Amino acid sequence: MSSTKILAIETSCDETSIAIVENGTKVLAMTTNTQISTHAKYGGVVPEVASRMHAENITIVLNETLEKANLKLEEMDAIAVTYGPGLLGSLLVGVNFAKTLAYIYNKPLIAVNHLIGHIYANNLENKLEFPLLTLIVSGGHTELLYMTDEYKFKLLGETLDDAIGESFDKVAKVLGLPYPGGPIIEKLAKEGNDFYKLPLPVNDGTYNFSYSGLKSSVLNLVNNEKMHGKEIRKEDLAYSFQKRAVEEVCIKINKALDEYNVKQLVVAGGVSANKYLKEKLEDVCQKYNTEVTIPSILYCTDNAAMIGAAAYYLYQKKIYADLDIDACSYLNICD
Amino acid sequence: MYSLLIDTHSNILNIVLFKNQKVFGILSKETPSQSKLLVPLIQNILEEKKVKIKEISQVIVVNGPGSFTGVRLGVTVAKTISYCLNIPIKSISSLDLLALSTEIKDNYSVAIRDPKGYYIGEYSATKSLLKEYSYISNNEFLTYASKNIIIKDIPINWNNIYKFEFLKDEDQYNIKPLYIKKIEVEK
Repeated sequence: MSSTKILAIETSCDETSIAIVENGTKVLAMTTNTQISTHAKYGGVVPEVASRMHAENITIVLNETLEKANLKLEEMDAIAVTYGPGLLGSLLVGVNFAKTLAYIYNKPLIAVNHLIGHIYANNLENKLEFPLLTLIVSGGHTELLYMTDEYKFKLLGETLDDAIGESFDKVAKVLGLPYPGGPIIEKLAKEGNDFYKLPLPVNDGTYNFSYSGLKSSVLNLVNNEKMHGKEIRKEDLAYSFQKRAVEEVCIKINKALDEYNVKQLVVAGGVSANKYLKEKLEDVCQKYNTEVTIPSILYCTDNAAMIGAAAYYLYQKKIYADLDIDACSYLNICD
Repeated sequence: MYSLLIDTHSNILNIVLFKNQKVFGILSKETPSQSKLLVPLIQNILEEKKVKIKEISQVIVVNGPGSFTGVRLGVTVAKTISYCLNIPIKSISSLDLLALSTEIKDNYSVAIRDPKGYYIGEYSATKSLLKEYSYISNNEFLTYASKNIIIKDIPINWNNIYKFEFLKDEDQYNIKPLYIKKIEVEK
């Protein structure tokens, strides 16, 4: 079998990442320049700053990746890039960079949906087996989809307001924790107990999620306690919040497993790094004899290897983009 | 010897091809989306002039000030070309571009407008820059314009690019757009 090498580029948020992926499954090299420490100073990602840093770093990241793999751009079979969804200014840098490479070396250009990238990240470690359910949980997305085959998606439900990762970050901010707050909440929760009474998630019988109510009740609780001069027990609040947030997910997964007979539950996106979530999902899936697959940290946060993994199918089907393709900050998985 | 100039600082996207430092071809297009057209226009001009991208031996980028997104994309594409073809990259500012396009024989100021104000460059009659570029609000500009000779919205004389000392040698890893105007988090 001949090998296909795809150079993949991801700049949709605050990571400048470039990888070379062979046959959609093997990462030959990857370099990721993270901007977290810069944005931490501002308490969150500043889009203009993110775009500037992508533009400054992109050829440096490319050069490092090629050196690691000991490969030349001429040896690539295609150039793949995230074209959405994400921060527009950041996406534009990656897209124009990719177009320039595709033009100079006369290689096919492959436009990849960032969310599909997160799902296909699993192919780097554990092959996707259809039919499957996929849960995307990140700072920008909370979506549950049913897949019958490669690139065949059916959206079952999505968040009606905040994304789950966004709610983690916002609650962290209320508790005065630094950005990005998600991982810190998880850490604190390990030391906490279910002391605070937070409302249970609304079970409306659909597959949709909602996180703004939970976030508001945390905010109200903190304000109330402050007004009564009480110290907030951060560990306990982190525990109670995380428990409710994850419960919301588990209710929907349970319902989906009742309705759909699937081989796998594929979890994708930054929040899939949360161990408590993983544990609870495994509990649910065990009853249905369904395997839970979650990429390792390296591939569940934003990275270019997942874009190369998702691009491979499009490459095989010769689904290429033209050089006048633009970035799209809003993009659905089913588009 | 061919060089390729990329100008994305305004809503008019200019791609200029030079042969032996003289204009050999120009493509200008007014567009709200630099991102969509930048690379296709480079492809178009080279095809039209029957020049291969690998025959380009120098890339020049107008690195601002102007549209943040525009100059960032111009710089990104220019430095990528410089990296891939291993050719030198040079920059020229959008203000210098206008400064070298006027024949005025007195000290003058070049102004480039954006929605909230103007980028300003001050030049001597011999086209040397008198002080650092600045950004002033629309209100400040009214007073400023009453006291200075203002050059703005004039056609660019691309043939003058190589005649004056405005082209700056850059390193493709370190070249930066000239943003000039401060963003909220920098204030």
